[in-house]
Amino acid sequence: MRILFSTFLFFYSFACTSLLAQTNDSIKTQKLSEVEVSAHIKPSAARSTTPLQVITSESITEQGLQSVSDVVRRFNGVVLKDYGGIGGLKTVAIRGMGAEHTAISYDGITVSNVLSGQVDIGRFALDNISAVSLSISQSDDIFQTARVLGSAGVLNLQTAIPSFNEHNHEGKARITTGSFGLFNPVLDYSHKISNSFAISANGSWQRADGNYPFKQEDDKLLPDRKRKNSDVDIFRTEINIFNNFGKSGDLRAKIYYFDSERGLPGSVTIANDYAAERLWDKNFFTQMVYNTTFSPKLKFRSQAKYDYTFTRYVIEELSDRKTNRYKQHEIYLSNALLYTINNNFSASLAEDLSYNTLNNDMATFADNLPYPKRYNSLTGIAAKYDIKQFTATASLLATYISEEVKNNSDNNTYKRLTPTISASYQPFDVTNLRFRVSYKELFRVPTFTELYYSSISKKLNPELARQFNMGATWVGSISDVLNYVNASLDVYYNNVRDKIIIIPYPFMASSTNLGKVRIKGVDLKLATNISLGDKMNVDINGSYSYMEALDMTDPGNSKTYKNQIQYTPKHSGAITVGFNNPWVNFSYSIVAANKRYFNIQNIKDNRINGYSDHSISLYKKLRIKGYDCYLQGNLLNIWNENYDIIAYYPMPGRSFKITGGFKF
Amino acid sequence: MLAFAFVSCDSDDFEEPWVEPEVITTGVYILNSGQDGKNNAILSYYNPETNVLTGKIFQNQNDGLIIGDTGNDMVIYGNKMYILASGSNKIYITDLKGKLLKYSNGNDAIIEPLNASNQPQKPREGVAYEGKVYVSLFDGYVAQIDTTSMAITKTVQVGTYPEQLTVAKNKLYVANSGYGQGSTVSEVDLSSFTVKTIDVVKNPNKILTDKNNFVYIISWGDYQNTQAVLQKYDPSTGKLTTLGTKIASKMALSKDNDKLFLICSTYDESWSPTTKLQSFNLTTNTLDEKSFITVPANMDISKAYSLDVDPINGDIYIGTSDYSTNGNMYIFSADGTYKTSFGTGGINPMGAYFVTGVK
Repeated sequence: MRILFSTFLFFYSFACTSLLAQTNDSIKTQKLSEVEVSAHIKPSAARSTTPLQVITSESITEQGLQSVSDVVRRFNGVVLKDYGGIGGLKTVAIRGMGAEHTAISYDGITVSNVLSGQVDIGRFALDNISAVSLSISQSDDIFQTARVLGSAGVLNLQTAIPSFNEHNHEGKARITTGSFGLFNPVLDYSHKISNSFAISANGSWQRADGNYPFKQEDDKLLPDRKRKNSDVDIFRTEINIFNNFGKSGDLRAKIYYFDSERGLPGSVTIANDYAAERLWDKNFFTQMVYNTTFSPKLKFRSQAKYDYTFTRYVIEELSDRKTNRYKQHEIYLSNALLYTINNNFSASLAEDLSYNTLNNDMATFADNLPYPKRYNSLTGIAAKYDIKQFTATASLLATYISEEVKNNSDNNTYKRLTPTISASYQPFDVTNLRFRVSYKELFRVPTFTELYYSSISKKLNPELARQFNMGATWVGSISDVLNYVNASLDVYYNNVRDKIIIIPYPFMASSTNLGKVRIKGVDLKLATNISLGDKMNVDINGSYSYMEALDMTDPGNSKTYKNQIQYTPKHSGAITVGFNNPWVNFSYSIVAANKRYFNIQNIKDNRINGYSDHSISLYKKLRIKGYDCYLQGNLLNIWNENYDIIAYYPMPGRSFKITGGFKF
Repeated sequence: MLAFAFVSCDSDDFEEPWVEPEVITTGVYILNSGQDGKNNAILSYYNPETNVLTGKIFQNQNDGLIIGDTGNDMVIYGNKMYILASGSNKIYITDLKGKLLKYSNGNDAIIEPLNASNQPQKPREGVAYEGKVYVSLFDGYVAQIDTTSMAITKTVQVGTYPEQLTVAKNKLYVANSGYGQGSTVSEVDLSSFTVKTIDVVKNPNKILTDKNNFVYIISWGDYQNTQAVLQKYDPSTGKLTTLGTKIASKMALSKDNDKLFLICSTYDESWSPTTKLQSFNLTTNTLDEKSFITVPANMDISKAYSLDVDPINGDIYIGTSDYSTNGNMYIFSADGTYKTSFGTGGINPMGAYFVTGVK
């Protein structure tokens, strides 16, 4: 019955008629990014009712950031769990909550992984990305899919829209090479076929040996090591089509293909460096978004996506060879309506339907493979009140998920209503100081791994969480020299209930909802630009996080109660200082975190030492034979610090990268 | 008067009453396996007389060298100890204080078993018999280590993913778990090294021999279609009998050879894990459902992980683990009365290993 109603809602919103374009916020700062011909929503971080961090491709280049994980490490309020090297798994956990609570979206559509619930951000490259944003809790843009309303935060990768400044075509090419056999050519080409139709295509290949040396000091038998079986071979390609129908709206479609083979070096084992696991990943997805206006006050957006992921895992050990294969399919449809009641008040309705399946073969579960199929319906209603000094957003998400499983399992259903409310207020006219407060309830359903591949019992409740944030932001200029300052300070309190805990197979594996976590923290961000004349300036970007995430599950257990949860540093931060000038742009960056524990019991045996990772980037623009070119050099981990983010997965020591590129 | 005393009490006639030298348990080693991939195997030492636990024995005795990943089992035999680290693929041979012995060429006595393709073979469990120590290797072999030369003298192929081993009447029996899919026990004749296969219930993992040379096998099944079964094998007749279903996952023989103490961890009808403590009477061949210990208030039996019996005084040692925090060890006297408990100094206590000596 519930599915029937959501299907009705789905077709009803499809059947409604016209709309009107909404005005977009733009960053109210001295430092404007390049103007783009086509409309591009740039969220205003300072006005946002919830913490929002945005970095544009221009800053990414200036700071010499090479990958999505480099960018994420410089945001505050997040813990990046990085297993090392280019091919190592990288997941994003927001403010002490598991990575399953983070939504990763590509051009506004969520990327999902129902098997593990965590998306590996290492699979995305920064090549044609125009902005990366991290929105904690929820963005103020209420005209979005319902799915983004359900997470602790969204990391969005926005791809570039070609601007066609002078010609009907444009493109760029670059080659990067570096330590440990890195070779990475990228080619991008866009063509404007008519005033209303454009196409762009992007392809890249990234390969590396990845056998970086490191010192394992607690291994007296094998202290000097090289990361073995750590090679990567990744091919990515993306085609985008842009269609502008004038008054009827616009359509944007994308095809994306990712193909990688990598060696898994595994965790470092004392006195034994045998590693023979390999992983093949293929991911194909196509997504499109159609925008139109039904009337001056009613806007409509429809999005659809099909995603296919294939993973093959092979391990050769103990005179045996084992293979596991996984296939995941997703079909996703989202329709949203935005109704602008007047200049200050707007409301929206979004309905998302999706269908996920998982097929796999795993010898250990040979007779009991569940072949789960999951049907999801998410309905979101939101409203926004926006005047110059005050913005408030409220939303309600209704989730209904139903699962069908084979082989000895009961079918599960989950339903929940989760509200969010947030507001920001600018009390004084003379200055841009704004205060903000927000409250959100959210939950996440168990992943297929937790339900079907961890234990015999196949019933689990969803994890529930509450987020509460209070903060202040200020943007402005202090003098002609200090012509841009953007500061934000947020204090937050989160709690997680019914956290899913897994005790591993083979003996008496079980997964239960037992955990309780209480999180308190402070996020501080400071960005400033110091002008040193016409053509020279210094950019400083700093972020600091204090995160106290304590296990509150069992007050009677002194070994765990009020211990800091795994892999969460109490203190972490990053600072980048860039000197921009007409000759060579120079940037120095530090990312640091203090000690963490790899088990819930906070004792010395379970401790991972703190670290600081320093890097230098040099960037020079050139003009060769009429083409805009550039040369970039990066020296990473310049002090060659041996450190782990995840216990026994060492990060690379000192290494370099050189890139040459040009536009045509 | 004085003359009388001289005649009846001559100091030469006086003899001390004769007392046989007493063998006692001088110490108990507790091997904590640590977690998979975390290199945190820790050897601790418990002194039952002083009730004191000392942790990190191996690394303190060996200049910071650590056992490594997954300290799965150890054997104390004669004046040597054999510590098996599955993940790090090492067999460490030490003295009774945990200090590594040396070969005649001055190298530390550490064996690293590799197969023909140079892959680690991963030693799992060990048993000692007549001057040799037999170790099961996870890639499907059993290695024979000579205790004098401290080297592998012979390797014999058995079933896949072999776990525990035991010896009865010059024959070695090893449970071939098959990583959950196996269903055989290999019988190796220790003179000819010929191998015979015995079919048992699915997923055999635990095996031991009693003083009458009967072999007991626990197969864990798959928790769904096949439940855990306790079986008895008679080597003289070749007959295999089932003693009970869903009564045991781990077992230990009592000091007087009269019963098997059993811990059974299984799932109930609503798929919640449950744990039962029972014993099997080997004289009457019946199950006694009464718990063989009085559970103290501070013990969570659902976390019961290891079960051992002191060979001298019959005390029962039960180790508990929750897979993520340091484990505990609980000691009970042979009649089940609670004596004491302490932290084991590491994660996943695999067992209590007794050092015995003359008092």
